[in-house]
Amino acid sequence: MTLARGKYGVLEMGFEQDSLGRTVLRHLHREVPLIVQQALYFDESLPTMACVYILSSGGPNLDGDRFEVEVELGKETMAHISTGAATVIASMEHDCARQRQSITLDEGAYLEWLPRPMIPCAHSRYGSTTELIVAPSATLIFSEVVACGRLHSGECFDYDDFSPSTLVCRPSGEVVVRDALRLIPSHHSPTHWALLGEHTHFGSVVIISPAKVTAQLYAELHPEVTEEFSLSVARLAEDAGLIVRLTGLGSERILRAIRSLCSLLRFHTKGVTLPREFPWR
Amino acid sequence: MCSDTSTLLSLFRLAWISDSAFPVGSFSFSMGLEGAVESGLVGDASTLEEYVVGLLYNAAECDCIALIEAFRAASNGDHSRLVDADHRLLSFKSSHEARAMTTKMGGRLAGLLRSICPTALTEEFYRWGAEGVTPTTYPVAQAVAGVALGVGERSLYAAHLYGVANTALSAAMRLMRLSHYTSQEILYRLSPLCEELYNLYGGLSIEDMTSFAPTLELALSLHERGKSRLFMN
Repeated sequence: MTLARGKYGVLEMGFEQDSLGRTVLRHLHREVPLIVQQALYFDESLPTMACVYILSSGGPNLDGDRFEVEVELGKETMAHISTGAATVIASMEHDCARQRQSITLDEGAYLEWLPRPMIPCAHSRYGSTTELIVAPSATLIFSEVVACGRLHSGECFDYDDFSPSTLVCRPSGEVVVRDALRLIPSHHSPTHWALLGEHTHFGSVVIISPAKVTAQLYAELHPEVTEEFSLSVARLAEDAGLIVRLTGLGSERILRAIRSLCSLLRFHTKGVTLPREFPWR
Repeated sequence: MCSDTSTLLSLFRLAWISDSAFPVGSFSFSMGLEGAVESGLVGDASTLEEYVVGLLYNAAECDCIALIEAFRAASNGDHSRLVDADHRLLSFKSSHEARAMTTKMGGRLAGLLRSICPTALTEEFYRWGAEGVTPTTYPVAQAVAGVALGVGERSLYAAHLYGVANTALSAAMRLMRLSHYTSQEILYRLSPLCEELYNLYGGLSIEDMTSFAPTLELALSLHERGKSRLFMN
């Protein structure tokens, strides 16, 4: 495929453990507009964990953008990956924006993938495919939070198509679970009672962890439903993990709940909880 | 999309396997409605109708796509494609209740077909299920039944959606104050949705299956943790 520079973003990251037990970003290849500068070590409870923010120099995802992201975590590595800001999907006239992600966790690896929300603008079209390959002893929390649009500009589910899909499998190829949505408001309104009802934002969280951790988490997590927020938990076959769905009237409550969930997972796998979120986040 | 080749005999038999009295165990499941009623998410005929609409869309975007794929695969003798559709459908069922419902009902349908109308296909499908080659989800077992009984694709599609709506409404009769009259009114009112959903989603491929219905997922989650136990989870 030949695309103009800046339309075909590439990001490859490979994490390994160094001789001191610290996770280092051994391989980094990036092509604009995707940017990662370096791994940081700002997490006080897990100081050997690599923390990475993915940025986009182009601002929003634009018409015709194609992004490819590949992340590999080696044995016993730990990483926390987020985005610098919300990902805006801009209005489109001719085509769509697409992203393909592949994230592989080797034995004993630990990954927190907690990006800021996605905001699909009016008449935007976005599709993504994410493949999560998780070794049986590895632990992953993978989240996505999606807004209804630029609510403060009067946009609410005015996008044309928002269709991310996730496949979780083992290194052997065995499929653990698939999670996919295709939100085309002109076909089936996201405001339908069975989808989001009066809520404007949603979050999807995939947690994959060894059976003992999954069982502990499941025992401690309970579905919630109020006028402002809901949370449901589904337990995957053979305790391979959980799918948590959250909906709400804004992203803040959902992001807070996902951080609590991540903290609980970190406690059951690493024995420590998440530090307080930075005040500017 | 394809033309329907159903005959009176095949339609008679489709009505037979789609009847709630046909012993596949649909009466044991509420499709999360028990949790929804217990938590107050569903409390009257209006919210019940919304719940059933949600179930129908959810079925059209997921189960019915597997049903069509499996039907076409079985019609063409493509067994590997049939088994792939079965596995793919199960991989979208993240909740325990959804997995239990589809595999229990599918397993029973496969067993009944093998005993009552043995053909090479129904025998093989049952054997694959028993040997763990295929998970025997209900829509895929229905597709096998459709091919074995000579039912057309569109008729089978309608029968599946009818089964979804009827299972939920029958459960509702046992869970909440609802007259037979009201439940049948809901079923009648929602019947045109079948054609609409087939036109919207019937042409999608197996790659296009989705499974996103947060309120229905919440109901299943509440049911797993709830105290009320009239239905299986």
